[in-house]
Amino acid sequence: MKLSVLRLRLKIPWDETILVRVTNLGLGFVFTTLVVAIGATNTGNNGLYVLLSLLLGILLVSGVVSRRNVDGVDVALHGPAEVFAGEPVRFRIRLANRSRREKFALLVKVSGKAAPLLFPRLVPEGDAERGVDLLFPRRGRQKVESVLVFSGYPIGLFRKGRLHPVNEERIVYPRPKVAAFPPPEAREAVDDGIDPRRKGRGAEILKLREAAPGDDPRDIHWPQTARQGRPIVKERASELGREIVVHLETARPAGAGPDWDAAFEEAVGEAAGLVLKFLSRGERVGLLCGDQFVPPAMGPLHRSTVLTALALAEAGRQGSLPLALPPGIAIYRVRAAA
Amino acid sequence: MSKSAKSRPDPALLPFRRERILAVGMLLALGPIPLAFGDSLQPAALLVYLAALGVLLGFVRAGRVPCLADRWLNLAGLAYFVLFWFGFRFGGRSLLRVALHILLFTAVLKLASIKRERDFSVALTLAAFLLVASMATSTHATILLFIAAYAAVAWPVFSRWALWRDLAAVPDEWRGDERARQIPLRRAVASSLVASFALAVPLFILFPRLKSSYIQGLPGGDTADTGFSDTVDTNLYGRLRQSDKVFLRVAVEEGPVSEDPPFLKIRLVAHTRFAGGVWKRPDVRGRVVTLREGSRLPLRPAGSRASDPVHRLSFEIAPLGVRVLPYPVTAISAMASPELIRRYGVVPLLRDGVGNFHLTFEPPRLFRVEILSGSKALVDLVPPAGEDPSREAPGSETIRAFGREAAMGVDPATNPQAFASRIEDHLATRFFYSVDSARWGPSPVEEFLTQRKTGHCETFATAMALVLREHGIPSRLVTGFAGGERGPFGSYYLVRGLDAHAWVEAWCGPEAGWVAFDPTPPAGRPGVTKVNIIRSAGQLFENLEFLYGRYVLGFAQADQASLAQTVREGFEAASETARSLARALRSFAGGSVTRPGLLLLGVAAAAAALFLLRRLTLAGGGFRTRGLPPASAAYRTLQRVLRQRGADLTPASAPSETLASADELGAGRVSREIVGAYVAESFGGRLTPEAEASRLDGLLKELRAGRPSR
Repeated sequence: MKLSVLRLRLKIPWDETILVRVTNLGLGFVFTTLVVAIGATNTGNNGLYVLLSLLLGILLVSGVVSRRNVDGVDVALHGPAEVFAGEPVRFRIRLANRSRREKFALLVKVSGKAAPLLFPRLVPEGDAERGVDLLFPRRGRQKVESVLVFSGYPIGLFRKGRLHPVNEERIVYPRPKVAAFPPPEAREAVDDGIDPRRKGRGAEILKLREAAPGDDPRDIHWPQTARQGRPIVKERASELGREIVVHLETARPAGAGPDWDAAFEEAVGEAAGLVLKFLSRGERVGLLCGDQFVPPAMGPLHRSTVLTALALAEAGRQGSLPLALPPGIAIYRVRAAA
Repeated sequence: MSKSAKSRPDPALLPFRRERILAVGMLLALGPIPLAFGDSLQPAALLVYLAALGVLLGFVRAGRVPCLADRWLNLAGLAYFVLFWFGFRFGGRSLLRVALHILLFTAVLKLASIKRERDFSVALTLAAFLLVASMATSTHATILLFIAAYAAVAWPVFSRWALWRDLAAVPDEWRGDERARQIPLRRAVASSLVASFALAVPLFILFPRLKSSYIQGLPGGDTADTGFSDTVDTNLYGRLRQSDKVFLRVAVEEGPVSEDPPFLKIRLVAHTRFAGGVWKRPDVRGRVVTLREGSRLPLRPAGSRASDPVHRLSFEIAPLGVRVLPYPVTAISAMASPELIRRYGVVPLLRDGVGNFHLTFEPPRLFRVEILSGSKALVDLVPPAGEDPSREAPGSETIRAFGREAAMGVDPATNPQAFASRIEDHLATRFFYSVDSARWGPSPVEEFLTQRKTGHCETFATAMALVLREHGIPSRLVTGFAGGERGPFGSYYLVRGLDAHAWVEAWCGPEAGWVAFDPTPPAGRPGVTKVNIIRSAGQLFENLEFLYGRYVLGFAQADQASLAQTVREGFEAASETARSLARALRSFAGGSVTRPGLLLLGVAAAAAALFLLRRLTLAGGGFRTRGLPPASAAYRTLQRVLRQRGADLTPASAPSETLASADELGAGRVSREIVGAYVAESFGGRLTPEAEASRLDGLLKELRAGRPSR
């Protein structure tokens, strides 16, 4: 039996939130104290009684000091807005000392397997902050429920700590995969006389037309207006790109196994990669994922909406494109490779 | 990969290996030091051990951490058997010493071969063993300093050990952070250790003592150590007079303290039989007397005249090597201390015919008796029996001739006291004192009297006793103490080995009785010494050592009972005081106040006191000005003054509330100026210049003086 498994976890009846473990050193200390106690009692040697008294005094003081060292500490965890699965992301842990006593050697663990972070000193009513890299292996809703703050201070006989609830819930976006652009789906052209290029605020003039309510007065074409005797405005072409819809197929084939699930995750990653790529080119991107349709748009808020939809995408329900899609929208279909 | 290679751990992978070896090395170096100051370990062995450890730790500190392979360890173990045999054969055959040698040898080897985590555990265990051995075998008070120093070193070691263990996976968290390497802070260590020691004191007192106190290495009757024994060999004496070990602490509980008190001539053993150069005390037989609780045992010699007591003394007696009760020659009676009575119930003594009080029990390490002492030595008037050994003369013509010559015609038969005085005077003035214990020839006394004329006090006393016996005067040799060192702190005297002395008691007739004579030259007579400041510090330490021996090493169940008794008496005294107070209150109230009424009165008084305290706190303490900048201090003072005048203000009251209250009380003008300055200082960040601070003080004085200031 390894000595490590003999570490006792103690419960303090009047404070269930504090975690106490007796370390190997603590066990050895207690054992030595017992041996000295037996020796002193059996021999009547007052030198041993002196040593025994001191060992017990140290044990008591160590217990009190170690308990006080982990009390009165507040923990906050702050992270960036976007977190992608599989990519280390820098969070900030902030410890605040609410008490009037200085704290020493506080160790912080965000997850069970992570190495601890050391906060050597926390002055009274002061705080300290450190960065920690966290890795979320999977997309979706992930939560850091609590952070463990513990310490072996002062002399490592006990390791005491508290679990501080932080309730840091994040939507972890899928890790974008860089893949070759699939060709957009061919759509029947509908000749309705409307230029496939979109209207916008670019320099190129698409056409001249009679002004309608809401037109920008700066677009008035004064020569034509004078010539025709009615307000004529310039309709400019958009310098922005196309409108795109990324269609992630979520239908799960019958009998699909874990391989398909892995392939689906790959497909989600590809879809995320496509979305981010198109958005970075200034194109308006929408998403069809399951039965959720996000119309094409752009901007940080829209980016977050699309990535969230991808983060929460589940295989199973297959949706369809809305019928009223305006023409000129390119559709990129992404599916799990069989 | 072979199985052995797989199972062989890589020591370099042990986290913080170098730091931990240095830390354990410090503990291993400190632990055995006290052992060399007792009999448990030879100093040379300790030095060799410390040297080996020092070399090893030097290598480690330099970054070259050694790691002996198992084959070298096996070889070292085999080689040690040879050393073991030598040590056992020539080292006094002490098992404790041999065990300590093995422990030290193992400690060095273990530290030089740390390969696995459990090797550290073994090293720490060895350090613990050494500490326990040191504490168990030391009888010196400085062991307390040692344990304090050890704790001061061990505390930071264990503090860092905990960190190293927790940061094993990320060592740079410690190595790369200067603040981490400073843990623990000195003040934190100091406060924790002080608290630990403070807790240890009541724990030490309260731990149950199931056995009599035992101290390893207690010398009992060892002539070489104490110089006192049941026999006096004139060839061996001398070592004791060079020892400043404290044997007695005489505290004057009542009576005057003087420079040369008569009670410092302390009688220990009277020896009557002399043969082959060795004095022996009489056979242990006599009358059994007892020291009982509350009663005094007369110590004055039989037939002696009574004397009024002048001093009440407390004799604290360290191990003397003989089982007799020491007492001053002026002693009237003795009483056992309460702790002695508690330990033994009744303390039996055997009083023999020459004034020795033999202890019939094994005395504790330190014991105390209370002695009443008079102003003069009391004289034994019981004559020696016909066949008493005190009459046995050696039959030496040389000694007899010396006596005749020294006495200058005084007849010993008709005037024994004068004869003895002449001999005493002759020896004291014409001979020389020396503690040299060079061996004597076959007739040491004759050699002393005719050739050497130099010796120590026992030689002088022996010579005089034999001279007197040769001339028909019964005499005996008495050993004891004849001086001491007066303590500067309190009225006590410390009696040391160098105060040991020997003198002669001679039978000078039924009128004079056994008269004491001291033939030692004055230079060789101990006396009462005063101490200078440096010596006072040393004496203070010796006093502490004495008290350590008595109250720590010798602490026993009887002491616990005594302490409990003292505490109980204290509580009883306190409750009696409370009862008296209650009676006084009742009589003050005309006797009509009942007990519940008194209780109610007490509660009401406490509540009133608390209320007053709170008012005072709010009035003064709540509006603290210390440490505040000038305008803020003036503002707080303004609030306090307004509150005293009835305004409902607290330190948290806003400036507008303060102004409103000031207006109501007719102090608007002054308050507006003070509040304005306060707001500018506190919220505007303006520094208040000294001139304005003085102006604000003036305004406050105006306010206090009560001049209207609307």
